[in-house]
Amino acid sequence: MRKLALVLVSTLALLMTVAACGSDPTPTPTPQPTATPVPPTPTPTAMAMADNPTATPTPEPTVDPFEAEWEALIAAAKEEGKLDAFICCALGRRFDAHVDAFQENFGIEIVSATGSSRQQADRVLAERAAGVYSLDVWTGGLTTTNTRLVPEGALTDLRPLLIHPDVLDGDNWYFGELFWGDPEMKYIVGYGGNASNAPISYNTDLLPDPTAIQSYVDLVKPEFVGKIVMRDPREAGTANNHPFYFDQGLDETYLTPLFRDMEVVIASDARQAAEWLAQGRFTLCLFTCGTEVEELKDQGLPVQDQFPHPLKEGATIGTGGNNIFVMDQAPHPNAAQLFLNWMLGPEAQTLYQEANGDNSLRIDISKDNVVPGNLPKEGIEYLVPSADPGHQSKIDDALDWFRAELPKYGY
Amino acid sequence: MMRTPALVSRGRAVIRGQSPTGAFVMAVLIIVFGVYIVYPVILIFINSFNVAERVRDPFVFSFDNWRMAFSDASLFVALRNTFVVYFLYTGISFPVAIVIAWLLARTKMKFSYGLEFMFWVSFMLPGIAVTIGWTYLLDPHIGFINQLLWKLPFFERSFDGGPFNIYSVPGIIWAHLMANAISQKVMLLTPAFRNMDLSMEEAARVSGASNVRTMMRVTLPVMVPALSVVFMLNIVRIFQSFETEQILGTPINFYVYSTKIFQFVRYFDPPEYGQATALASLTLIIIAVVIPLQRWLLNRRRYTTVTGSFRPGLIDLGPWQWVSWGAIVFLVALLTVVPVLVLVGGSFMTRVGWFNINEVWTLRHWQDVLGDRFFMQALRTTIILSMSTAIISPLLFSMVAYVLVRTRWRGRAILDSLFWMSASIPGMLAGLGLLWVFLGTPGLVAIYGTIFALLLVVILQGKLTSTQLIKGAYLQMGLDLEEAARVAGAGWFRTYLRIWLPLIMPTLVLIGTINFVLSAQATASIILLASRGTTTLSILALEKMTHADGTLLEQAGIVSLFIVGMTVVVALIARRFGLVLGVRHDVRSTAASNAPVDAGSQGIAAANQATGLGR
Repeated sequence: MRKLALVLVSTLALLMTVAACGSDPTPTPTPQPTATPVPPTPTPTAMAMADNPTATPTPEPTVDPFEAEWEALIAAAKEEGKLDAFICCALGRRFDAHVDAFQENFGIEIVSATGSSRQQADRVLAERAAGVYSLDVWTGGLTTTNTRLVPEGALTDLRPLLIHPDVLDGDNWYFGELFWGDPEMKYIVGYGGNASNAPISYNTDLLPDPTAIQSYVDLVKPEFVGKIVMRDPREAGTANNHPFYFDQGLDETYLTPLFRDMEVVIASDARQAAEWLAQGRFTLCLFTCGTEVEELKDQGLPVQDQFPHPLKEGATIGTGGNNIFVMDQAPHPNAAQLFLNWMLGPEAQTLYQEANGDNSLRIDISKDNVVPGNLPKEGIEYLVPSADPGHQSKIDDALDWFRAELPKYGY
Repeated sequence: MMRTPALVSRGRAVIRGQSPTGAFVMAVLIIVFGVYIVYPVILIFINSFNVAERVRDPFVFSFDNWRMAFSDASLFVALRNTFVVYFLYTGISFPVAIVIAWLLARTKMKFSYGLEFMFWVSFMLPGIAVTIGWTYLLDPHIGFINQLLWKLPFFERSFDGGPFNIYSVPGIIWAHLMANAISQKVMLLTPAFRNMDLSMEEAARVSGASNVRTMMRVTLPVMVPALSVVFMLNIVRIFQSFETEQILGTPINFYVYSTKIFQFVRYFDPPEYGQATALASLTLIIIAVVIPLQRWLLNRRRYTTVTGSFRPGLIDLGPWQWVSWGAIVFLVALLTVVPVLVLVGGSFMTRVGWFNINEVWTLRHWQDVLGDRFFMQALRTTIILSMSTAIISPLLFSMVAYVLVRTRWRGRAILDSLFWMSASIPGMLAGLGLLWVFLGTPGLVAIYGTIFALLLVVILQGKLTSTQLIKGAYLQMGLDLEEAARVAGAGWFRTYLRIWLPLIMPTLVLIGTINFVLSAQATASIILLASRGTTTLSILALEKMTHADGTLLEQAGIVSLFIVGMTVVVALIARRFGLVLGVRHDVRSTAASNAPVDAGSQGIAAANQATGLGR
């Protein structure tokens, strides 16, 4: 029996040794010092002047302080050599062009992950509690960020990091300035801005004349009973637009009748909802079916991801999952700062538009690669729910409302 | 010198009393497994009473999570739905699986090993592919089978489509049966049936019993350890299966208990882990019933089927052999063809199941997957993890099971209960618990983010199933085999190596394969521990499945195909290896049931060889 004991204990000891002797422990990162600007190299013109004292003196060449700071930042970031990024949502699955361009421009590798923001937040917050800092930058939606990362102090103030004049110039942005996604206006910058007449997708065969619907209230008419599929509005991922309905007083006139009278069907996910719409089983799809519907439309199926006209309650612009933030105590702070400025610049924003046809809030770049429905139209005054400092608490209230009301009607 | 072994000829235990060695081994096992299994569970449970707003805030004790979790009136409907679904598909799958396992293992079934392997293949296929595959066949409006039926004169398409509707309770039951409710049970039970001694069945028949009566009165009673383990392994996971209900039940507002747990994690931001834990705690009640029940079942009589006089052999069913063969082949086709077609065919379709779009066929998904910058690295990590698990887990757990079954050391009940307790927390919560354990334990934080952390998790992941199945196999083995070796002077390790390993090899191969599959398909347990450098194929597939804006089902399917392909190859090699080393009952050996080189004499011969007496 001693041998049984020996073998068992040895095996367990081996496992524990494996546990204790990992060859690649995650080091606790020490933040690198912020890049210090270095004096610029004299230009050829200045050197020629020094060699020829008889030449007509010209004013001392002014050194652009930004150029110096930028070059120093690049040098410091190259020294770090790497950037750890979490890229959520639609951009996450088409981010390769950004990775290649950043590598080509600066010689810095982006190690990017994608997936669920909620899980990523679990991980990052647990790591921080244990003194582990593994992530530099994150692009994603506002809910996880404002409800978890900002309150936990997991994000860094972006204002001192934003240095590129091209980014800071308000004339380059749709709102005349950077769009801040947090109430304190310092942690989250939104760069995407899809316009939406109404987040309602429809089957074009079954609804050939969408202009017959001019208000959300028109959706709860008898002809649409049993003809509406939706994603579950209790899910946090669908909630970004929820405050709009309550701001417009649609809870009594639209939402309650929708669940009470319309025999709506909840699909298990956006793909199932969009496919049922394309099959003609349903006429309308509510609560964020857009991306899947857009793909089906590209394949020649009779679906449209949103109405061609704004409903009377108003049209909206939102950043969706297209916001950027930098982690507090990022392991590669200079690479993170460089990426932040580059990501909000024209090259990266053009790539962002190309990835999914989304609209960038930058207005100084070509819009040829944007899906027309995502572009803001002349003459329409858009509401921007996420610009409301109370947006997040309104989302929470709306979700509470949905979670209380839907079970009353058997959902 | 020949030792006098302290063996017991009656009862199951070989090693009695509490020697210092035994006390030491039990202490080590209980501490190591206790910390690993109980610590995350305790962390999760403690946290369910914490309602502090932020992670860094001090602990704020409250029963709010528990009160709110159980205040949902629809919860009791969901609980009822869970039991309805579970008992329906178990009520069908269990008898069917027993009959199939018996037919494959105890009768002269042509290609029985090949057919058994097809059940393994069915078990390896991702459940979600099976469910989605059947929606394309049985959707009431566009299902292929329904469309075919509408062409027949006596079927008319009603307003609701049909006649078949996968989005219904019978549809959910069907999807469970076709996913792995049947195949998993066949896979687990067949090796136990193969260890049946032919002489027992012959004695029954000599007494005038029919084949069916023999099966009911002789074979099944001695199969109680295996049957009870399979049943109990299923029932403790009753609140963990949710994919089928989520896809097919949501559209008809049919929610089960696990979907409610899932909703607390997925619908809320931040996720309501506390409330999910409160709901999951119901599993502890089931475990509290299961552990004593199993002990009572196993202690009330002996279940030895393999002894020194063991005779393998197979029963001839006459003309019914071909009928049963045809039925099994048909079932295997249902279980494997649909999901394989969906996975393989769908990988070349722009959108799986859609033939009326602009571009039906494409190579784009394969290009995207193979061009994914993390694919090769994920493949490499998966192979390392899965191969290590397939080798280490069976050996480790076979020794633990030996301690549980063959010794009388004090503390075995605690150790056994620890393993059952690991089923109390669903994967989606266990992953978080493990993250906290790794980040909060000095020895483990050093390997956080490395492949070693994942290795530790996946090796121990299949602990409950592995230990319980090997326990069942040990219970079938008679003491005389070990006694013979020990009398002949072999030490414990030599006896284990030369007697036990060959005898339980079919079970070990099964455990190795199951652990390979579990490891290759692991997501919830490792997703929070894996870094980008240690991403696995299963995490890559999950990423493609769970994008907020769309589901890359086809690409996820391709990644799954790689996992299934790898598993099939490994399982084929392992089976070949295991069948060569293990006890084999085939038509040839039975044909000579009078002559016999049987397992018992193999065991005795091995014992002699082990001690050098056989040379």
